[in-house]
Amino acid sequence: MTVTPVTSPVSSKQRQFDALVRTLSGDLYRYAYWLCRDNALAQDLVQETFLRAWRSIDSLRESDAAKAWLITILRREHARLYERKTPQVSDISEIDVQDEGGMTPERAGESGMIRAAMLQLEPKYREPLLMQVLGGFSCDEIARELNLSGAAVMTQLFRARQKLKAVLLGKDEAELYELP
Amino acid sequence: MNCLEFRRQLAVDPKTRDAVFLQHKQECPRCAEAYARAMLFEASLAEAMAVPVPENLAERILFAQATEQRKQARVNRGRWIQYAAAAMVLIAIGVVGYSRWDRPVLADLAIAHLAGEPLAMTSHAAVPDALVQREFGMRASIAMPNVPSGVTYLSDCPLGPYHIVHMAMAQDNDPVTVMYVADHHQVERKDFNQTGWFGREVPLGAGTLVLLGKSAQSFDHLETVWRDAVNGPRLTGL
Repeated sequence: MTVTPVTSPVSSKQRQFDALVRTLSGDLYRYAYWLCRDNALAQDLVQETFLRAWRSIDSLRESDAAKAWLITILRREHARLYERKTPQVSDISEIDVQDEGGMTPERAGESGMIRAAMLQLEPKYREPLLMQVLGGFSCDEIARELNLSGAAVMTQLFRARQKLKAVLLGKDEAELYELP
Repeated sequence: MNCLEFRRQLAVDPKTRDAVFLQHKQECPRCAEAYARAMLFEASLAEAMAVPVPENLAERILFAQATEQRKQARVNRGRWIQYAAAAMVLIAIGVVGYSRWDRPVLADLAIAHLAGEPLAMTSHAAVPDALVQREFGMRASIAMPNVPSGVTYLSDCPLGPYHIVHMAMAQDNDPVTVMYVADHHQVERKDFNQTGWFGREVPLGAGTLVLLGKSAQSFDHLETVWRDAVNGPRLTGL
C-alpha cells in the first residue's frame, strides 16, 4: 500500500513571508535592539512586528519597500508598547553589548566605544541615525516617518554623528565643527 | 558647493549620491580626505550597530506565525459554525414565520369568510350534484361519483392565499359550512371552537376539509360522508 505523505502546498504568500523573515529579521532585530536597548524586548518586538506584517502582507507590493515597511511597523509596535506600559529597561551603564564577532582588539575596542556612545545618545538623535544607517531611509523618508521637517532631521543626523565622533576621538563636540 | 556645505552634507548623509556633492569631492583634495575619513567612520558605525542576532530568531518567528495561523484557522472554523448555526436559526424562524404569519390560520380565515357571505347559511335550495362534481373536478382534480346529499350552497371562493369550494349543508335546522381547501394540506385533524363557532379541519385527499357550525353535533357524520365522497378515483389529465 502506498502511503501518501500528509503535506499541504506552501502558498506563495507563505513563501514570501518566509523569505521576508529570513532576509530581514536580523536587521530588524538590530533596529529594535537600538530602539529599546533590551535584548528580550527587542526579540518580542521583532516577533510581533512580523506577526502584524503577516496579517497585512497583501499590502506589500514591492520587495524594495519591505524593509522600510517592516521598520514602520516595528516603530509603531514600539510606541504601542510604551503606551501600554513602561518596559523595564536596564540602566545604560549596566548594559553589556556582547560579542565582538572576531574583530581585532583594536576594532573591538572602537566598536565598544561607539556602542557605548550610541547608548548615551538621546533618542531624538539616535533614532534618525538608526533609520539612516540600519534602515537605509533617506532624509525625506525619515522626516515623513518621524513627522519632522527635513531641516530638523538633517540637524539631528549631523549632531548625532558629531556626538559619536567626539566620544570616539576623545574630543569636545565643538572642536569637530572646525574644518581641518 | 563650498567646503563648509560639503562637510555639513558629509555629516548629515555621507552616502549621498548627490551630483554637486560628488563633484566637490573630486575637485577638493582636503574634502576628499574628509570624505575618506567619514567613510571609515561610517564603516565603524555600521559595524558597531551590527549587534549579534540571537540564534534561531527567524525560526522562532516562523514558528510563532505558523502557530498563530493555526489558531486563526480554528477561530475562523468556529466562526463559520456560528454563522451556519445562526443561518439555520434564521431559516427556521423564516419557515415558521411564513407558515404562522404569512400563511394565516385556516380557521380564522374560514370564520372571517362567513361574515362576507351571509346568504350561504340561509339558502335552502338543493344544489345539483353535477355542479358540485364540476367544482371539485376543476378546483381539486377530484372525481366525485357520489356527492353527499344536502348541499344547499356552492361557490368557488378565494380564502386568503387559498382557493376553496365553499358549500353549506342543511343539518336539522343547523346548517354547517363545508369548505374544501384544495391547495392547503392540513397535517393533522383538529377541532376548534372560537368566536362562537365550532370547527373541524380534516386532511382530505391533497387538501383540507373545513367544517364550521354553531354546533359540532353533525361533524362526525359529515366527515365520514365527505371522506367517502372524496376518496374516490382521481381524475387524470386535468
